[in-house]
Amino acid sequence: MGRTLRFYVRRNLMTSIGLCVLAVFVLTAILAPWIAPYPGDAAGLVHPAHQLLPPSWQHPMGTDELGRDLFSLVLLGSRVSLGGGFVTIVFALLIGVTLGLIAGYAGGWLDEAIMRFTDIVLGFPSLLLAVAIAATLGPSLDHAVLAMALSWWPWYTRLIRSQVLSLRNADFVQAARLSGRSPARILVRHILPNAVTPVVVQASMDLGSVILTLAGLSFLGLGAQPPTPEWGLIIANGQNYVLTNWWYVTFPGLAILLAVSALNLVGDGLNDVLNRRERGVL
Amino acid sequence: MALLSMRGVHVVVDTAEGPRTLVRLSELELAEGEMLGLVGETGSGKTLTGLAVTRVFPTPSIRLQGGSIELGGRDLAGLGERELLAVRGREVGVVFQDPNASLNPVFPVGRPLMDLLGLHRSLRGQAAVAEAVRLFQRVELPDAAALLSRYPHELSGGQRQRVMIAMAIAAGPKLLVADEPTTALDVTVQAELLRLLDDLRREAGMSVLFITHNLGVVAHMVERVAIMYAGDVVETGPTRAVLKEPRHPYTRLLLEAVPRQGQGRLKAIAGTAVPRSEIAQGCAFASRCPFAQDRCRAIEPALEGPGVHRAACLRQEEVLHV
Repeated sequence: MGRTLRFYVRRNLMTSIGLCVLAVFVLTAILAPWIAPYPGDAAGLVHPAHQLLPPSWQHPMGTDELGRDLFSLVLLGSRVSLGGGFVTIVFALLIGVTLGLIAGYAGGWLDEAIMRFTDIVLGFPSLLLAVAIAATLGPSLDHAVLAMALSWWPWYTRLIRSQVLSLRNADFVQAARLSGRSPARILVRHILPNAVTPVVVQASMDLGSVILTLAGLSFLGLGAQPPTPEWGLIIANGQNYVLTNWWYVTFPGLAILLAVSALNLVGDGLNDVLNRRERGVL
Repeated sequence: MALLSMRGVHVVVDTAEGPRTLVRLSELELAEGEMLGLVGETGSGKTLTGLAVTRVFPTPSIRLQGGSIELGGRDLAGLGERELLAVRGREVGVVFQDPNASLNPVFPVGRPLMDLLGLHRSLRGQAAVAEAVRLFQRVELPDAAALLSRYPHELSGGQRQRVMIAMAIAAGPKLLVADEPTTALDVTVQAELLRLLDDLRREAGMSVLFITHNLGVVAHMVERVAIMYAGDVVETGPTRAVLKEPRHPYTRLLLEAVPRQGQGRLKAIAGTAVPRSEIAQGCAFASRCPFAQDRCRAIEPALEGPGVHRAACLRQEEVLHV
């Protein structure tokens, strides 16, 4: 599959661009503490003498009202934003896939109970849940991630369940049952690998939306708290300076735009590759 | 001493109107090392009878309602799901009709086999690989070692069925349930596979429940045959006797329906098979039977007859001498 993937990506320009941009983001997120020119600025250092400087060679993205280097904040913020989104999706997948597997394979009342619960969660506004969690546990990035994961999993449950339903009576599943395998092992070893493709595609596309929503929550004060360098939070701080100091919100905004766009392009490309493979086109 | 003895086995499907009977087997016995042909039309319950031994049914709504299934003196019908896990694959191996769908497409074909060896024979690593190669060679797969890492779509139908047979015999089961193992394959491959099954049976002293709708295959392959209709055995006995001197009108009509060279029109059995659940009393075949009398519609016949050749028909002597 590795060769067909490379072949396809070479043919598809948009996916390649998305992959490159994403790679840059992931690399900078990993290396941020070493490549950020002023890593201390993200930890709470302030330089009143340098406040609100426009972009220059010293400060490629300018500085904020406390004299902190915005380039360093955006770089270090990529760890928080990408990481937060990634953790959210992983948690949502863990819950969603597990419940979907059980619902689809068990059937009967258990299926009914899980799916009705899923419907209830789907009908519950995620923003309200985030506000409620922030109100009870206090606002923080961890709680925003928790709230997002708790409201995002139902989509995966539904996807996995529908896949399991179509695989449950497949002959090879029957063969596995006849060879004395326990239901849990049949689910994980035989059904999951055949059911996981659409979920992987969906999750890769969701990652962008989740990052965007997390930034939104931070912007509203429900997510990351100062001095955490989170993109949404930087924009929230900079909103008073939109008209006077354009660079303050522009660069973190661009970071969000680029990251989310890259993730969507990669998700689309992944969808093409995997679905084509399923249709047997490649 | 019978290895497998099924009595009063009752398989039902749950519907909105309550359970409906699919199989109600009066009796079926299989001696050690014997190959028994279980013959019937589609829907006669022959597959479900085979699956009932390990209680793995295609959907959860089909279940075993009652009866006894003794394998080597132990009643499987009384076992819980957990205990049955140790029976499936270890004491009873199953081969299906369609080898194209019975291998998981995302794994190389050797993987489930080695998995099975780990589960039932505690073989792992190099030992499992060596044994898998030996099994592949035993079922006459070419280039066995290289084949282990091939994916199902890279194999032919006959090869895949050989893989399935290798898996079914991997744990050295006492009983092999072969559910139309050659129906989906080319005629040329069929003969080879049937010979292979027979060799394996002889070699391991394994009993085989051979399920088929093909009387031609039965005539060549098995010593004893049981004919099923509407979920029950209607006639059983030595293959030669049953095929030459059928005592049940259904067997007789079935034999007449087998296409022959030089024959003009193909013969069919009038009417359609009536589900067991819709027969209130009497003989299940009465509605299609040219020999049926009023008493046939009132009394349900039991399997009886002289010696080992028995039929469930009140008028079997007349059927025999027409």
